[in-house]
Amino acid sequence: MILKAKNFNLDAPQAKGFWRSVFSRLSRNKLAMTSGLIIIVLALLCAIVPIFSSIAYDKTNWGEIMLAPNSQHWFGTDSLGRDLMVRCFIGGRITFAIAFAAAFVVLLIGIFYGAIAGYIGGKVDTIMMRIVDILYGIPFLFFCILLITLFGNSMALSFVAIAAISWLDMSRIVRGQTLSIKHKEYVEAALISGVSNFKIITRHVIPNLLGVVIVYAALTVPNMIVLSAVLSFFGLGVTEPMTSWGLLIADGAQNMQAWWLLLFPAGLMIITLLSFAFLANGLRDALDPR
Amino acid sequence: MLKFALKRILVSIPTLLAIITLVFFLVHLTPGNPFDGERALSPEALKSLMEQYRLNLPLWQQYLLYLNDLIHGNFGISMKYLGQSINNLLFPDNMGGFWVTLRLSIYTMIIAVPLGILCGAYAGLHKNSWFDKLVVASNIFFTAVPTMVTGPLSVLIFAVTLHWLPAGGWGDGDFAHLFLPVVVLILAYSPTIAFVTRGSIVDVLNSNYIRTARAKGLPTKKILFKHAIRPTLLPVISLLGPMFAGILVGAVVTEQIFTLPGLGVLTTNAATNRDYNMIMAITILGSILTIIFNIIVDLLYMILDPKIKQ
Repeated sequence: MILKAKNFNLDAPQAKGFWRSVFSRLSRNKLAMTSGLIIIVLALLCAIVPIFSSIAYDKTNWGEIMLAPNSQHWFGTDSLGRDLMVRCFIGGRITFAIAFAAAFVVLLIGIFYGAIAGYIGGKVDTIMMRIVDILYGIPFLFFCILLITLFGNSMALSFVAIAAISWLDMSRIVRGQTLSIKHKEYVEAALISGVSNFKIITRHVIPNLLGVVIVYAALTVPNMIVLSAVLSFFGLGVTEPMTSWGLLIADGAQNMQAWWLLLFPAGLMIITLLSFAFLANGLRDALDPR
Repeated sequence: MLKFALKRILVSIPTLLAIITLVFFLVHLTPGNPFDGERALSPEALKSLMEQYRLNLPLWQQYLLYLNDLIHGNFGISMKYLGQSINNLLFPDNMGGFWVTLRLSIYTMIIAVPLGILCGAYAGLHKNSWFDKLVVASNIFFTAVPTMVTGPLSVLIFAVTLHWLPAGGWGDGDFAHLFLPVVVLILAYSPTIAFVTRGSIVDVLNSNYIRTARAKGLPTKKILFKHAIRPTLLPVISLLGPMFAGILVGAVVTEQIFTLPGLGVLTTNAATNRDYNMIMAITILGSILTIIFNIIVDLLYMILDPKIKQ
């Protein structure tokens, strides 16, 4: 009689202990914890400030053009008299939204693509990885711009375009990990007891990739922030009167005599990017204590 | 060596062909044609335009003709500047366009690579010194913070506030105009090179054959330059392949920041005017450069690592 896998609980029994120890290692890393806290606070500010501010982000005020930071406009105003602080945070909202959404799509595609290629192996693997190699040959900013030009310049599309070509690294990493997991005893045991390939991938391979994926996710979000910001420099992505950090920096770069227009969005972006870098570092150390 | 090089070049031809095919069909199978958005054209004018751009032909003929053009080094005709050859726009005689981007990338490479290697080696040899810490910290900072943030900030500090350097523009490509863009690019890439070199040299110095060389009583200089240098450089070389594509794109972004008349402007114009032929040309040109550079890196790798030779 063939034993069906569902009769057994194949989850690794020590899984809980592993994540608990990861968390305790992470919580001891002050730099990473502070960074995580900063990211949460910034995200909350982006969510809250535009709601509770008395000034709308697109409210132009011809009497208050290019004001330096003062008690009423903490970050100053721009060339249309709009309050920069509200714009920074609403722009942050868009930036975070694009980055997280794109990172999610990147992880989803990358994980499945890499896990399938690595698990099935053989010819399928060769072909799938060859496709990745080919896509690697295209300078991806140009490819991104090509896609946006083709499909129109909307925010949703720009993030799809970003995500569609950023999963390559992820798929390579996941494939490598999958190859090593594939030959572990528990996978072979599942295979012998008749579990389907798809189920092995979703139940055993992908959960065991989680460590790598989490670290990579913490690196992907800032990458997406940068890429969407770079696109703003080419006049693509988010359009006025809506804004993003990239657009604000591009705007600030054109109005240098008003230093606050550049300094505030650039500062917010630097803080965010560094926080993600330290968080990713901390996560890597916590997940893989050599 | 020659055989390896030839083989490497032959292998990359299908990759390039696949990229060209992908880009071509992506552009041509997307619904709508580039003249849709133009002010209403008379049917005759539209017809002659379609003929000029071969859009009246069946797709496979267009594809083969496009390939034929590319083989002859012809990127086709711009759809924005009607009738203008893209080659003239990309490679103008006045040294603008692609030449600006290429110059930026090459200057960056020439300075960033040796600088990164030297700083990394020094840091690795003096582990935990203040310089070492500086290398590690600058790697974290400049990997996280991109040129599109450091660029405008450097303009704000050195051009607008201190008036030391021009804020942007090409001038005649003179030193003052090139200085900030190149420095910004170098800062973006050499910390990574330094960091990799540092890690590599620490590993190599801990290896058994270096210990053996030390035990034999070889002078430090000889150990470093005879035994340690090759294996130290290998990870650095393999870093350079992907990095070049990054520098090329980074140069284009930097051009946007410093308003230099390179590929960046052409890309922006092409994107806003839906000049498909131009974007295709730039994408394919970028791919060709990336592939060529990867071949060079592979050859360098082979020269340095005798294990790869069969």
